[in-house]
Amino acid sequence: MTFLNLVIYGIANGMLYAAVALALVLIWRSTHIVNFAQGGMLMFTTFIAWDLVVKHGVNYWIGLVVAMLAGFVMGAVAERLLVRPVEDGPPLNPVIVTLGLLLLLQAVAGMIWGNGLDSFAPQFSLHYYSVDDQVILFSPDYLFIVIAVLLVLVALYVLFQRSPLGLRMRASAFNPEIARLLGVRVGRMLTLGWGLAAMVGALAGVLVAGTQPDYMNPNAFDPLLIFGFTAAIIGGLDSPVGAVAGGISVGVIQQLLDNYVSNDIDAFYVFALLLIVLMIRPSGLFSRTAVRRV
Amino acid sequence: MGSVMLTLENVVTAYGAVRALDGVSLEVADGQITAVLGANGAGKTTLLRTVNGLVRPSSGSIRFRDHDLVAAPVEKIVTFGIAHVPEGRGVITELTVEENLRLGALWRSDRRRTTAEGLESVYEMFPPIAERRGKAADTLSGGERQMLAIGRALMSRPTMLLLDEPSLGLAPRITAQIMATLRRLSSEEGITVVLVEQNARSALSVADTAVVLNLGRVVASGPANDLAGDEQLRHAYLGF
Repeated sequence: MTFLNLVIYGIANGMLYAAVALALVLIWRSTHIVNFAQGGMLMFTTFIAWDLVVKHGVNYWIGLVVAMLAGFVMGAVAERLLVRPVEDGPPLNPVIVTLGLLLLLQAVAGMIWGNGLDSFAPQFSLHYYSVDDQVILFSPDYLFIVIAVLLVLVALYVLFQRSPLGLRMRASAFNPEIARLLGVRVGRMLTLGWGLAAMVGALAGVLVAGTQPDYMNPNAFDPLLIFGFTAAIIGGLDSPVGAVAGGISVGVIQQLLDNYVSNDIDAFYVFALLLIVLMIRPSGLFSRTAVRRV
Repeated sequence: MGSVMLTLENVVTAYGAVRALDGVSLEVADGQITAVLGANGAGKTTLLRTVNGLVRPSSGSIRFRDHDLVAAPVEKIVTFGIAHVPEGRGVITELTVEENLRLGALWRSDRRRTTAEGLESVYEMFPPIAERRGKAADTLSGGERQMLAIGRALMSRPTMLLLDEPSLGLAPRITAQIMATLRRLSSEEGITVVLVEQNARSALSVADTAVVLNLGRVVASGPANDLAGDEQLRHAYLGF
């Protein structure tokens, strides 16, 4: 029973990593940039939701929608104003810009909302389900998390694989020059991609904040970014399916090793997993890109 | 001879200090196949990239019917009726064959109808790619990719096709097929074709007129038959 419980709990947590990984993959696919600011953006938008819901008594769902819209705007503005001007330079420049934005957002959030510990209670119960007096490490809140992330996955799949807009976005990502010759406004597609990614991140932020009391601190979201990043790399940075698989693997392995080995060093397991995957398949488990030999 | 479709006047395109096009003037007549020939580095690809807006000339004018191409954004060019056929590598390999084709008509406001009709006629024209419509484009052979690139351009219902070295890397038999297709598009559909080719022999076999570039300048132009018959020119610039 313990094992099953750990797997269930790991999957639920893994869905949050998957959402962040998905946000990173969307941006990597469209602009070949690892967006470290993702962690800062989702922290900031979660604080916006928290401010509305907890401090001003706004309806939780309105708060969630506002956070996601704010995420979209932040992502789009970041691409347009910060990333695009440095995109043509050395590849490291945009990465440094996103790191800078991460630090800036954390500092500004601290100035606005303080560096304390506040709670952002979720809409659904955190009490675990139980069957025949056996506690299952799964709560209505986690059920909501799993469903929400799955819905986002389906929505993104339909958008990218089934709609003309999605076809334009994929064409812009894979071959911007050809896309432009075919009449696609590539710049607009890139901005849209960053906005969508940040929106998915914003959802993950609000969801993760509800899983534990006293979560609301500008630095508390760092592990989410780190594990989401690991999940994205493990899955192969260009594969949305890989992002989800990577997220779930990271979540489950983390719980199993925490319980059966030691919970003092849980970040260590994740990085060990990352190293092993990178040694076996450097481009990630689900990547379609062939391994380049030098 | 029909009316003039595309006019370049004194076009200069420079990469730094190097003038890849050094004052090129030429006219492309409506409904004809115009071959642009020359050795590697003669300026052929730069000429195409300047016409479709990917590089901007430092001086000179380019007009397509009533449109000033020098001022037009790249994304607009296709809406004027100009479709670009990049060399085989220009198909988007991560997308399926059919997605590549759909992209061609995506800018059109009547795309629902034109896509359905376009797919049907492209598949009829190129049976090998019809069989692979659901497959990723990277599974196609070189010749099939070239067919896909031409098909995708036709999806936009162009009045003019710009082709960048369609024979590159293809077997002679496939090249002959592609050239025959161009001939048919020109004579049956009335599409104007600009054929940039290093393979002068096969280009001249289908072209009505030809322009020869050397070091960014036009060194000869005229009816394709005359150029093909000019032994001195052939030896000096065309390599056959």
